[in-house]
Amino acid sequence: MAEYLAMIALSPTMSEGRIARWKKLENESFANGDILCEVETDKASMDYEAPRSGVLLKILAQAGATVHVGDPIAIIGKAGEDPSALLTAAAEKSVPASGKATASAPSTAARPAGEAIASESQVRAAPAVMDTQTSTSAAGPALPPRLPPSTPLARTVAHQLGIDLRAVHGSGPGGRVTERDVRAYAAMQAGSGETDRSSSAAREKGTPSDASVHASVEVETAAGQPKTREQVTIEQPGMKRKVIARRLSESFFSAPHYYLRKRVRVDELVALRTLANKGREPGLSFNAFLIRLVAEALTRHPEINVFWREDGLEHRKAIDIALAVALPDGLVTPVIRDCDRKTVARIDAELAALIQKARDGKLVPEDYEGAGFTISNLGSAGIDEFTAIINPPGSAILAVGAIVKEPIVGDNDSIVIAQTMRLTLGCDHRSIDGAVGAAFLADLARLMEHPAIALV
Amino acid sequence: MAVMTYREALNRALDEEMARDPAVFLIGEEVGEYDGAYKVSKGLLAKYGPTRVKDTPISELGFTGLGVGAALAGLRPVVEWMTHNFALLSLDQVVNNAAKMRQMSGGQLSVPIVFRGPNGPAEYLAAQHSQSFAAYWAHVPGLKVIAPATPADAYGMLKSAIRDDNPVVVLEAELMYGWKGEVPDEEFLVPLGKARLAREGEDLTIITFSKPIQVVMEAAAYLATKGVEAEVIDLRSLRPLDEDALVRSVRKTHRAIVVDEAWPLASVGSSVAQRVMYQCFDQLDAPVELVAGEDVPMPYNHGLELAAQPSVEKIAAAARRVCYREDL
Amino acid sequence: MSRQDLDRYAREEHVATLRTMQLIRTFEEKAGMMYGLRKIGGFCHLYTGQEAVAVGAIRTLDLAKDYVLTAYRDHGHALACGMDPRHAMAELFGKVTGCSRGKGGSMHFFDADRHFLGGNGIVGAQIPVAAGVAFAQQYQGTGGVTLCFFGDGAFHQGAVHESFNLARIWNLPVVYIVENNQWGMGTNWKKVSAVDDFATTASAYGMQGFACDGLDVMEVRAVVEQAVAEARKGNPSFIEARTYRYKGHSMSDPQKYRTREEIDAYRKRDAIAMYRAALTEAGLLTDSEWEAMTADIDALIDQAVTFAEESPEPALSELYADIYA
Repeated sequence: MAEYLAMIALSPTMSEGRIARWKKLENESFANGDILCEVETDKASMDYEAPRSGVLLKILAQAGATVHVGDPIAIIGKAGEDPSALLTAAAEKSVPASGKATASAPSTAARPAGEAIASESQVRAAPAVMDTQTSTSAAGPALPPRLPPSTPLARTVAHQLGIDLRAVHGSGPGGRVTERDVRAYAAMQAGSGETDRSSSAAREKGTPSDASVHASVEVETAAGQPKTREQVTIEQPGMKRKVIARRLSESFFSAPHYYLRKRVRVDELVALRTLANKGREPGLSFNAFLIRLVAEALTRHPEINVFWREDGLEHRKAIDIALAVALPDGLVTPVIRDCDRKTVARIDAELAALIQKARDGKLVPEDYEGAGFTISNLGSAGIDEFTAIINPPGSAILAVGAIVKEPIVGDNDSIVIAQTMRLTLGCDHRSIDGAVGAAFLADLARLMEHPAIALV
Repeated sequence: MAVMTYREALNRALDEEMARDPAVFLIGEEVGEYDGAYKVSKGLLAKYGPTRVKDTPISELGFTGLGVGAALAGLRPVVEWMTHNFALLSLDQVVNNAAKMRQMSGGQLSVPIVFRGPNGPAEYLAAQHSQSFAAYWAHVPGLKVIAPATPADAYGMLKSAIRDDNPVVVLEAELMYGWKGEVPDEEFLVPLGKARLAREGEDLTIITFSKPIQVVMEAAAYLATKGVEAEVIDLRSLRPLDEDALVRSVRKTHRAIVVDEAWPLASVGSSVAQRVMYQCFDQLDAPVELVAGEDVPMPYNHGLELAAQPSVEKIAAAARRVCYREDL
Repeated sequence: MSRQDLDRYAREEHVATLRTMQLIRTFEEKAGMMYGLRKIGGFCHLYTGQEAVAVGAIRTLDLAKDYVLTAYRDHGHALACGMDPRHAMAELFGKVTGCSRGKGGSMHFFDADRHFLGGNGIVGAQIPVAAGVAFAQQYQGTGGVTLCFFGDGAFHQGAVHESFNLARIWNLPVVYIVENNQWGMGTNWKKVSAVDDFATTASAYGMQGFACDGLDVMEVRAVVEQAVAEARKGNPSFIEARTYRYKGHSMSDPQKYRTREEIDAYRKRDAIAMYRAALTEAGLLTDSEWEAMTADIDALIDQAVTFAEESPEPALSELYADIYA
């Protein structure tokens, strides 16, 4: 029996995936467990393994297509089976199968899967309407999940101006967004009197339109594209970028953040690291020490190591700490598990391995999910201090600035040159009150200033 | 430049073409002795004699088919239907013979013929005499279909139609025969297949043809008082259809209303609306509106028959929707 | 068929007449075979059995100025007008070399040069058109007449009434010939006709009506000659030629409505066989001449099939050709 092969969740948080490439051609047979295709999920490329043996009768979602979990990506069956009945059915309910999948150009359909990988550019070249729809579910929660009804011209103009239609209030019947709405929104965003350039605005007042107003509008729209400004290029975010956008927006807009700042003197820590690295090549990273000390602070302040979940507060037993790592195509947060039970050297080794894996795009969900605490260190970028957005479902994030030398007031009111760094602790007020956060940060600062205490 | 009626303009065109080409003859009910049921052929019998101005029995199928045969054999008949209502009796001859002879014969035959007469609702005529059949003809490949709406177009287009080597159906209108307009004194032709820009505007395109041009122009004047400048396109040729003119205008105004006095389903208006939607989709800021005749046989009662036709109010209501302007 | 009838024409004319009848017969039989081989599709109405009507009538004409129109059973009339059998067969095959460039098919043969104006698929639709052609002949003073054929089924169309009336009131040079083959598709003519003698209806229009044996080519010819001569003087007329078709209404007709015996009875009065016998008896045609004639015709028709087979299909670019001038 021919049957649909559905997109499955290849990570716990995956709601949709993008077909990176097909590993099997149409009409090629496969064994149970063979890799059928690679799917780009939240943060990683995952292999889609065949659930049984059979033949790939028809690919429904070409490389480049983004498909919701549960929607068909292919028809599989036995050799020689006719997939046409299922094909027709798929066409009829094509919203998931091809509506989303239309992002890949139709011309790729007949090509071997291996060649169809040029789809990144095809996705970007896809019409604005489709782009917006495709990104709908993955983009920020501040905006409604669905595209509002809008006129084709409104969509055309929004695309030209780089405006997300979901942000625009529709004044037409049923909330339909019209060209006038888009231009009004653009003018508002620009904070200028730009609405005056729209003939619609003039008409709204019921006054006969000024001829010069018409003239300027016509120049802009006559050829279907503005002549008076640069053509805006909209780059379609990749899967990863969309997930980052969604998760951070979710976090930033739902978790009430507050920040605590503390300057710490790290002369002792720097000296300790120098000592530990003597004869070690390559040396242990500063971040490994940092993680180890944060783990120590967390054992003393378990109220910080919590998940804020819809159904309540989860107190974490394990001390799993994530470190934000910047890659060319976006941020990843590999997690070191059980940091309270690992040596700095072990932490450093695991960190190095995870970062390499991230660079290779081989991270699996277990590598980056479920951290109770996250560290973001922009010290190497020369940043003195900054605030970071909490990495959910964790409740706190530590933003670490650069180590600098500065004069401080030392013992006996003497001025001394010290190595310092600035810590900014971001907390979710839903789960961590200010005093609790402050106590943690004070303890962490003490540990960092005098790392030997950690031994006690 | 003389001001003349639509009727006189048609008469002048017939007269000039009959004088120019002896192969042109006029045939139909009451075209001779009676000077035409609507006086379009007034004076022609006297001038050209009974060989070239043929009064027929009431046999629409017969004399229409006869016209087709005469055209096949080298003449240029102008067949007058007293009204298009009666032309249904000759539908077979127009659709199956006139329109297809060239194609069926692999290009050997030519049917240079004009079928003309009043089409569309008039007044107090009830269901069988007040209706538009524009779509019936416009549907058929092989025919040309024109609907001049001014005396100048009536003159220039009828002359072009008579000289055309294809069968041409002309949609006139009883209530248009008395319309007056300037027609240049010197001879001229209006090419078939080109729309007329009846009014320039930036805010909205209203597309129509034939008699409804009158309510459309009134509606445009009303809209102007509200600050909405409508561009009005008089199609005047339904087949071939001047899509370029529609596209040019709607891409400028981003909104369109099509006005057709015929029934809405499968009408020229609905077809034009589809073409506009297709050609201008990304430039439309509102669904294309169709203001059509109501979907009922024409009632006799005057209040009811007016209610069954496009009106300024109906066009303004459509403008309200496409312009998102509650105050229209 | 009397000796007197035969003597009115030269031997060469008889041979040419018989040859045309046999050409039509052979063409139609071959077309039937080709239809069976699926070389020809759609509706294909064969003229077999009725050859004497078209040939007897059309040979009276001067196709330099006269015109012929008929309905969809039109192969015989086209060939009688002189259409090249290769172009006729190619048309049936839908080839671009066909008389209508493959656009018309069996029902829509046209040959403008030979004044054959089709080939009309709508029952009775050619009847008013023929009046128009006659009107043009009168208008232009060409002296030509128009011969319009239609079947017994078409006789009941309103177009007949309208056209007869127009022809008479304007004295058009037109001759209408109903080929009463007795079956309007599957309906016997007597079942649907108010009169047993179509020709009598001519008097209702002030026209002369003629009846003739449509299986006797000499009789057909004699009557049509008379009618055509009257038409040239401005007197339209109406002729009924009683005939019979051997084949079904079209190739897809199972012919349940008539008996084998009826067909066989008519085959015994076959128009070609009777004419050939008369010519042989009169010493105008030897058996060997007949054999040579049929062999020649067979070769001609085979060539027509070869021509049709080898001709190209119309290019897809032809789709929009010849719709408008």
